[in-house]
Amino acid sequence: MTESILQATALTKVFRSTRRGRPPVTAVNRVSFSLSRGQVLALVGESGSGKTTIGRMLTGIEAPTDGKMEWEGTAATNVRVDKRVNQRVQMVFQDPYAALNPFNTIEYTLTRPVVNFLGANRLTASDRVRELLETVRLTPANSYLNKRPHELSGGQRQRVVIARALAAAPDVIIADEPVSMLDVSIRAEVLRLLYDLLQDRRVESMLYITHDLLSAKLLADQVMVLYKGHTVEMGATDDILGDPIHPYTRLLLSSIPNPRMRQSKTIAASYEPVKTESRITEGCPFAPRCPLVMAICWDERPKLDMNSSGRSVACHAVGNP
Amino acid sequence: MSLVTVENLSVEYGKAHPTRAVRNVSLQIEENEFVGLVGESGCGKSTLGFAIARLERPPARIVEGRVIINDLVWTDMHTEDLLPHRWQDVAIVLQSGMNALNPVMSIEFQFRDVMIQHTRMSSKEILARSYEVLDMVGVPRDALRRYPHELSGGMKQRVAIAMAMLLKPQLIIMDEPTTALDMVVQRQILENLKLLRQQQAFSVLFISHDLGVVLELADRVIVMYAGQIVESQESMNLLHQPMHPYTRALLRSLPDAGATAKTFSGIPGTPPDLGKPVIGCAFAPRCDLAQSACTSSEPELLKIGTSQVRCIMTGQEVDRDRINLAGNGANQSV
Repeated sequence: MTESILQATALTKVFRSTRRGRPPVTAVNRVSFSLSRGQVLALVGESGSGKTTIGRMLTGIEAPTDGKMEWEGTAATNVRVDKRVNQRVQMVFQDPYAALNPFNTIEYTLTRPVVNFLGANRLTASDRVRELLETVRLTPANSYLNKRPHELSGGQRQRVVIARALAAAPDVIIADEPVSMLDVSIRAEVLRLLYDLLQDRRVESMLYITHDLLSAKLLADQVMVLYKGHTVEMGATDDILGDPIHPYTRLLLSSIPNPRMRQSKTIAASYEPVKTESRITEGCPFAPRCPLVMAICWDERPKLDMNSSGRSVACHAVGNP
Repeated sequence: MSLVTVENLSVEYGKAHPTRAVRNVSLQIEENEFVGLVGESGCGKSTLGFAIARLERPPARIVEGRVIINDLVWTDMHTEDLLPHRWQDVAIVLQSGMNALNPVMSIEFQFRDVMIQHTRMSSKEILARSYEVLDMVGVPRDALRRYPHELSGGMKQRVAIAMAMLLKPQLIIMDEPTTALDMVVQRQILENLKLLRQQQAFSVLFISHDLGVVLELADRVIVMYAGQIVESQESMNLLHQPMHPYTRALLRSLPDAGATAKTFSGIPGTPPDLGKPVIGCAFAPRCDLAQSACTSSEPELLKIGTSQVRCIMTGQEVDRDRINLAGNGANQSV
């Protein structure tokens, strides 16, 4: 492993309900990972898997209930107050319609981080802003400077959001479902842009949060699959997609629409949850939907075992890879 | 006679500076046919779907053309006269079940409401049918007593599909029914639709921006661009021999599980502003095959066998290939 830029250890987030009598929800349960310099780690899971909460804790939008986050070995308990950390991690949000202030021009939106983090004044920042727009392929840059978000399409707005994240020259970008709100054709363009930014080292390290395993394949070196706040499988992207081990990862892969395979996939149908609301505190979180479920799965939570090639799976049934 | 015939339909938004969202669209849907309608946001696919169901609301209005369903000319009928045919002949499933279901009424009440309005079923029959449709979409029967907010997104969408099935309509229009859902939930709904189609006969107009999903389900795919049909082909032909450059680009933008995904690309540029007249081919500014002829006059929708394509570049080329295949050009009647 190369130099680790970000290390999360047993990160946990419990949301307590404001309504009395409602049990607290553990959105993220003792999740650990490490992001190396120059790497892309994908967090993959469905709604409710805790992937967004992890991103929000790393950027300081939420405070973790328990666990540690370290930036290059320095503990960061409260990311928000630490401006140095704040600059080093920037976020790209899911909804480009909500992420930009509708009253601000694109120029103003992009100038703020350059002034705040890089010590430029408003005049010297303007070159940098133009360069940023060109980096995200909004050209000619001059024609976009005085526009406001409503004058741009969804794909263009998402490019502005990406440019804003790049503006602070961060070490890590946390991209939370950056393409899921976009049309398929626009999605491909934005993924291509992220891919090229990574190739050109404009973005050094990235945490890519998604429900779409195929886009993870395009961008990520490592994949971590989450289910209800638990890591169920982790490893190199090609290993995970080529040979998924955990039943949940297999389910995710078999769910991808594939026009070249029109025959019915009975596998997905058999994964219907027994009862969606049942919260299991003791056993494996996937047990109610798992086709391989055994007696032990209901009583004991499987450990995340790592083998020699860096692949880890948390499952009693398939065991250690 | 086809179940649905749409003739030269045009829909505009606004009066002073109208935007023509659907431009001169003609199509047919046969009985028990699953038709996919794909295109980017703003291509007019939802507007077309709503207009076929005569659910267009101001500022949208049908400016010309006809919609004929079951030998009835829906475009000539008054709203009240259409009521008996809604749910009964044509039902619609919207993007998110949450928008389609009434949040302050139980599912049972909403199901019953549809059946009371349209049939003379007894309470017993109504309950039996309610259970039956829930079973068909794989939702537990106790969902009937629940309110929409008590159900997950996937459940709500399946309840919406169940509701559309209540009166066994001949046509169900589905507008992006799985777009807001997770992959796994989407897969469950797609499998469920496949199963339903094996069990009973009904036609579907499935509107989506995701060509991958549509190709998996549909018998035939219609591709729309800038308010017009640019291609129509049987699904497998469209997948293997896409004719229009736009369809080809859409296929390239689908990430592929098998191939090295690093080769895929999107479609640069944006669709034209339909508030202004479109001169020539609407796709020409984004097309890698475009020539000067493309920007001067609007291409016709060419019929090639059962397929259609609106492109002077690829249309002629495909046309020529097929004539040659048909017997060395001896048979000129295409």
